[in-house]
Amino acid sequence: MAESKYGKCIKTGLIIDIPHYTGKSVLAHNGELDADCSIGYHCITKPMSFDHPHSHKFPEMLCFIGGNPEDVTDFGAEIEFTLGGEKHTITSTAVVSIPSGVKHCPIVFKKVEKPLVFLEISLTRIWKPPRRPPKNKPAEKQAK
Amino acid sequence: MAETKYGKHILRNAFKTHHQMEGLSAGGDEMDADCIITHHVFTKPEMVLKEPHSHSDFVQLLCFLGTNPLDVRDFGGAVIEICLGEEQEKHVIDSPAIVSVAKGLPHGPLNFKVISRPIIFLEVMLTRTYHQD
Repeated sequence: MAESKYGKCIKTGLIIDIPHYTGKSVLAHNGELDADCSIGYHCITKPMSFDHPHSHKFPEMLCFIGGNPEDVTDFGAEIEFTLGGEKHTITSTAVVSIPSGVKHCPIVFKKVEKPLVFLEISLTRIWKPPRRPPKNKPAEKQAK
Repeated sequence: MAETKYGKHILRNAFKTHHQMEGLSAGGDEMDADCIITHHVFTKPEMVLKEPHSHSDFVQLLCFLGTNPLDVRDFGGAVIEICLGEEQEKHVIDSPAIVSVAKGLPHGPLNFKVISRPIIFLEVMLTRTYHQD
């Protein structure tokens, strides 16, 4: 459409390659949606993990969805999800609703026998990856 | 797990049928968040909205995705028509897309016109409870 008032609302350029996922992802983490919300939609086909415990100042919904479009409950994975320091095991399609300020991770995709969708929805306009924990500083060089 | 503090945040039975098949669907009260998520698969054409409507106090994100987990660009030949604005400006979606519907922006009709292979219709609504003007 040459001239349109609402074409800007339709986002088709949000597909990117993120190496630790399978295939490509749909990603809107930087205000692309013009909403107080960011989205990531990823496919996972092999074990992986997010290791560093962290929290956000906004709610985050992490959805684990079976990859069979004919049956979203067809779930072939085992995920260890640490929430507030508690370890939970997810073996069926689930939504984890993480309130603001609650620490989460590690998230370990221990077994992945069938592809699954990992959908993350955060109630923030801009989503930034959590900071890695600081490494131990190397010992100060001794003054000569 | 018998007694936990955070187990209530993991929804293991958030399934509802809004359209053609049972899908993953969680409301704001279920998630204790100002957000509603619905994830539904369409396997055949359907006119989802015949008339336009709007939501004056929340943003809605309508995501149209293929179902090939190895290629998110594979839209399976689907064609969806959506009209936006009072003018009912028609847009054709034939590749994965997110439609960001601002507060108060009329949307509809919404027609899943051609569905050759299953596609996903994912809605994210930034409100605790669904309502329309």
